[in-house]
Amino acid sequence: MFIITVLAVLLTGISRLRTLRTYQRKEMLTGDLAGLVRYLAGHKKIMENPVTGTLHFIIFWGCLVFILMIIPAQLGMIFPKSVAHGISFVMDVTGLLMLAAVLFFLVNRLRADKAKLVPGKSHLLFLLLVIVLTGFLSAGSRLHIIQAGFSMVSPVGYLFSIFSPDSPVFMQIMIRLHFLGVLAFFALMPFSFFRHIPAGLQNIYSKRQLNPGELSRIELDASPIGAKKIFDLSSKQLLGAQACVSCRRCEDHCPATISHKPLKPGHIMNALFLRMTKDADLYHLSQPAPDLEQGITGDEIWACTTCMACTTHCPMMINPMDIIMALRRHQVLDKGCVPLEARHTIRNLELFGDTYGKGVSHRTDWRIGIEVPAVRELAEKPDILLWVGCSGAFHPRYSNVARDMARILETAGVRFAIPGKDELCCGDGARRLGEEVLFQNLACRNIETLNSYGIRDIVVFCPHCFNTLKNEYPALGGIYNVIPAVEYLLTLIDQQKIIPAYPVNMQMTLHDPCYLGRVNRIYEPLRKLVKRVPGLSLKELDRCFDSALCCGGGGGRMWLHETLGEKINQLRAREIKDSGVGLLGTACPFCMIMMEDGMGSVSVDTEVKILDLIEITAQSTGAAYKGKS
Amino acid sequence: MKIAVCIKQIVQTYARTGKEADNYFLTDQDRIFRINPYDEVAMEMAVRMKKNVDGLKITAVILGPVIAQTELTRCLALGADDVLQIETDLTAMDPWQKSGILARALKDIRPDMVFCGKESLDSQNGQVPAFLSHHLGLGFVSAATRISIDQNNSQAIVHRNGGRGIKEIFNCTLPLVISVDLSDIEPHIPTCEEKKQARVLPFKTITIKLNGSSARVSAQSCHPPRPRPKPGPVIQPELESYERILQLLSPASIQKKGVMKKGDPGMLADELIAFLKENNFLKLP
Repeated sequence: MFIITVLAVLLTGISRLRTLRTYQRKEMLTGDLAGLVRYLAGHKKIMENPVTGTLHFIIFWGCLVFILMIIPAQLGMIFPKSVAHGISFVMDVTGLLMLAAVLFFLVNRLRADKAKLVPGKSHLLFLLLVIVLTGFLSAGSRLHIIQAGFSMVSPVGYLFSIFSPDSPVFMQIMIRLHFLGVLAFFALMPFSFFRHIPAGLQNIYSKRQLNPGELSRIELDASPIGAKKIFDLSSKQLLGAQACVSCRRCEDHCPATISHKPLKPGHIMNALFLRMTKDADLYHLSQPAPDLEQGITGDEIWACTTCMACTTHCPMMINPMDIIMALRRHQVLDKGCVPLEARHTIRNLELFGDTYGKGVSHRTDWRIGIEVPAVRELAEKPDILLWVGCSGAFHPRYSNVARDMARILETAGVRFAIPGKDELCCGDGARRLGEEVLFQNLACRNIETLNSYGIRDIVVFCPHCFNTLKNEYPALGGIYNVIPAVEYLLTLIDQQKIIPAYPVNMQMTLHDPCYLGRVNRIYEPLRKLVKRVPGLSLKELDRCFDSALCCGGGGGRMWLHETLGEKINQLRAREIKDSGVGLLGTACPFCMIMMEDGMGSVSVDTEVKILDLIEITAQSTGAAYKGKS
Repeated sequence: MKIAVCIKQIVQTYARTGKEADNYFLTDQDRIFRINPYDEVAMEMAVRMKKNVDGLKITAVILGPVIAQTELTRCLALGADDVLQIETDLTAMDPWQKSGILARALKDIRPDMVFCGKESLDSQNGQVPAFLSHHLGLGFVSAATRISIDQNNSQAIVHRNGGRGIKEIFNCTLPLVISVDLSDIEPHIPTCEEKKQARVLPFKTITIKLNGSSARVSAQSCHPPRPRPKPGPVIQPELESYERILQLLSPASIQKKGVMKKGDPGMLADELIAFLKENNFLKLP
């Protein structure tokens, strides 16, 4: 009777969670059962925070073991004695571990700063404690009654039996309490913090059909285009808001939060859940619901650098960045609200087709004085196309990198060409600033040009262009083999086409660009390239690989002022300066520009040189070039 | 109340000009079709008046064929209510003819105010609004930066940029022609919805023929600016330092015309007089 009621409550709760996820955007999702099983079995993602991860592992597997054991026991299945003893021992030890884990969590919560705590978790932990304790006490009093004495079958139970009263009534009360506790656990699951179990399972199970760094695609004739109200988000995005456990890992790694800006990815998810619970009924009654702006401010939306740190570190595989982008799209496309500084960038892109507003006719200025062929000047198709990007073509500092890259390719005897005056901005800036229409316009024009030349292989040295060309152009019909310049240089070195012979005697460190590292998982090629250059020694920063701090230039932030909080690039520059190296290597124009700015403002006396890995390779292979000429 | 905003579509050539095909030659992509930025500000100024004036209707007036479709839509999306396109038989017009045609078209729609940009980015004449006020017999304020209208829609207070930081405030009787200067009024970014509506605005085309009237002023020739010195070559590190310095200096070297004379001042004066006489600069008896 109880069980049926509880099951009914559980199912109602889960279906209520489903109703809350009322959405208008359809999104293609596929199920990934293998991934879910791997995730649960290994707990790898959760274990990234070792202490909490291990404890979660214990509690999760503990609950699962008990549930799996109790069902056959209740069904009256009889095991052989040895197996039964084994099971008893395992359950005993698991119970003890669970007790320790729950106690640790509880003590941790009591000791922690009250302001930072997420409310509503303590009484659930207490419920878990009651379940475990009553379990042990009932077992203990049973052992006491039958005078079992100590045995290895149930060592913990024996310990409890010492101080348990010799009373069948007490045992019965404990058993009842234990049973009620378990029932309460299941009944509360969809209505409390434990909703992360059903919602999280579903969130991890359902996979999006998007490339790694790709933003969710939208239809431009929809109204509104972005997310105005809660149900303008897609089901997967809402699922994320339900699955969020407020573990604050996103906030530990978010550059905006670290630099004391108002954005906290976790807060966005909480705000969404709050809206969801309030607005879903309004939707079903076809009543107007409040806009999302009431819970999420513009400062939060525009502080995001789209560095993917929140997405990478989220143990629930939630993508808050995608939601922030949906909110930005609403601001720009539906409301016409663009930060003042970004307007010029968007206008430049609209009129001139590049972020610097210089225009197509100046696109090839960087190659004046050196021989770099453009595709349209060649009689036959080149082997590879070198995508220069706006920064390579126009930025006075970064065009040096473009020239170095061209010289390296020339040295290696690669038949290459640049798009020249046919190139437009890849559209990353426009898309990350929320101007989806402009992005599609630029991207389609680029794809048309590339296709008309029959281009297959493209080498890109800007990670943002790389990500756009590789992950976002296929959706618009541009399918190319896009190679990041770092990997291409490694291949050239491996093929002995260029030889890094000249030593660069320096200790260096690497700043991982977000769009190579976290988004496209390209970490090792950077390190390998550094190893190939003689004389260089690499010292990793404290924040590196997945935890690397963004330079603050991604997501259109390159063109926005940083008026709130600290400056991200200065934070990072201080970290690099404190590491005591003389050279910083990076592989992204934005990182280079932001870090040069930051370094200039934090270090006056010590000089840290900032070079792109392409420049370092060019320096080291300079001899080969000289030999040829 | 009606406001007519005259909008000019321009071809902005922002690239360098010159003869050397590789670096200076103009290609098709170098021409940007856009709306004159002053006219965009004029449109924005008119749109902002909608807040305070009830029943304000904004007509966008364009002269000649539509050449900048996207940008025109964007400008109309700022808040125009309908479009009047004027077609003529003339291809090249001077400001006098243009203003004559505009005046004839505007007489039909009888606007309370006519907004124009102060000047256009391509020709920078700045004459059309003034001529227009002459043709229509209306008052004219140039380089307006702010405008407000009284309750009865009969008087306007116009702020004008008088240059050198001077702000002038005028009291004007409507109807009125104003030309708008760039100011803190920045055109807002139109939303997708506004752009969609701008594509289906009422679009009226009228034809006005001047029957072969000839321009009073016509351009005789046009001289593009001298090409800028070519940017310096990339310094090749493998060269000797002396050659690298030469490389560095090479783009900056400007060929000077004339001769540098040196020597005793008396002698120099004689030589200078001889030179001037020789070249007929000086006519001495």
